[in-house]
Amino acid sequence: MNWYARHSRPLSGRLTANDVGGINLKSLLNFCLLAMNTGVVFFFPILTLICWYFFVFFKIQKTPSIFLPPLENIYDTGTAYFYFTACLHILAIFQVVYVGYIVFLQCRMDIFFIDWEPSKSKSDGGTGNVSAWRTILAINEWSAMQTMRKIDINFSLFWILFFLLGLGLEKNATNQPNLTSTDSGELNIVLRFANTTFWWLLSGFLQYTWRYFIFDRFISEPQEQIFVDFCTIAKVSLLVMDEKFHGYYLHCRSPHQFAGNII
Amino acid sequence: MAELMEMIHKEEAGLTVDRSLDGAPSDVQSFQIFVTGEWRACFDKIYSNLANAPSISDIIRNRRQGHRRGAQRGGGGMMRGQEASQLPQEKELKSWREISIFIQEFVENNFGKGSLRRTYKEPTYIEHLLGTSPDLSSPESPNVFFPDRNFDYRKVLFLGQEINFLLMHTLSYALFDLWFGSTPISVLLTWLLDYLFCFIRGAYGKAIIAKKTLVDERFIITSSY
Repeated sequence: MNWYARHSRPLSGRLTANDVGGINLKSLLNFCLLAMNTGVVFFFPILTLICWYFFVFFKIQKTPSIFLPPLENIYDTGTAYFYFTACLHILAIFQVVYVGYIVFLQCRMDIFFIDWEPSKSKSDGGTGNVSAWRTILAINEWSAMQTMRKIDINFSLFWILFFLLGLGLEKNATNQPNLTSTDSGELNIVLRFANTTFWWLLSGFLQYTWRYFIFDRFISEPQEQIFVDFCTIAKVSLLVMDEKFHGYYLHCRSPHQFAGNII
Repeated sequence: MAELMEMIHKEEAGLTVDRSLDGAPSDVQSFQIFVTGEWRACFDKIYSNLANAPSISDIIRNRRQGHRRGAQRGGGGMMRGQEASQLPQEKELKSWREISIFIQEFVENNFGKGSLRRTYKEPTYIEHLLGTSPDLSSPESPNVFFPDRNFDYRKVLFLGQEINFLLMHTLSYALFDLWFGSTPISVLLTWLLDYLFCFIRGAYGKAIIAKKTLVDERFIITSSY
């Protein structure tokens, strides 16, 4: 209902049915992709918590109480690991497709930069024209911001490699109920998923916490705020339409008369 | 530079008016906008000339190809190549000026027609919680500006998609781990997948920005991948 309200508008005399959106093949495709992401957001925590449950209670048991089935034919229906394998494949593929869809949509947004600089008359020492360089600088800043993130993939992968390979913590996923043992052995896929997911989420959580609570408050400023300030000094506003009837407007009209000053 | 520093100091001392939009709070510069069908139809009418235009890089490339073909055929071909590539440019510049004026007039609320005007509203608690859009069911209702105090405009960049990327990295790593059973291979493939998305977003996004803003792609020198 929310999606329909954002993507359709009432018909007026001038508008045709194509102008006002509504239900068509494109909207059904959008719906399927949104459903994929919703499925991932819903089932990923469930799958993770189940795997963490087995990891914690299998590894810390002192007396035998939890057993894991042997790793055989994990892709055959009816085996103990089939549902886990199928679920992991579906969630991973759905999420990769959805992120690809987000990238596609972001690339195709309507974007426009508005220069508020008035032209200087010849009596004021101007040429009557407005320089385009401030707009070009704002576009360059926006272009640089396109793939910035608070959670750095290189940092995450470095520390995951360090903990799993360097410190040998990937052996936590072996099929024996002793967390402190570092003996080599066959790695159980459920325990392996629990182990790697823990390190990924921990790495993401720590990086985001560092950036949000410490770095962007006490050392620097959030990148999105820096960009707005920069555009305000340059007197260039930005209009971005990410959907047909929805978008964002950054009002960056500085209170000063001229921004294109002589250095 | 001295003038720029003086402007910043004046603003800091409160000697200038604030940066806000008319009718909006003084501390808000980022807005979430919901537009009417009429507004979108007017916008598309002007923007379609701009968005489908060849970029300046395309025009220069076509001109070079025209020169090469002209050099092979003789002088007449070169002239034909030049004239054909010059024709669309004035139309795109005119569209660029029109759309700039259209958006400026929209922001300053100078339109007379109700569905092209804008109004600022604070979202209700339910609208804020569920992210629902305001009611634009009446054909003459104005476009709505909501304050974007949390800088949700990041959602149009990778900055606002952190959770989606973290989920993608975690799940794709787990899948590669299941397929290959090797940590270094999984790390490498996860990094390659992320690089692929960053490359597409950076390269394709840059080309689209160059096309839609009429700025030559060669002026966009910052690399995001």
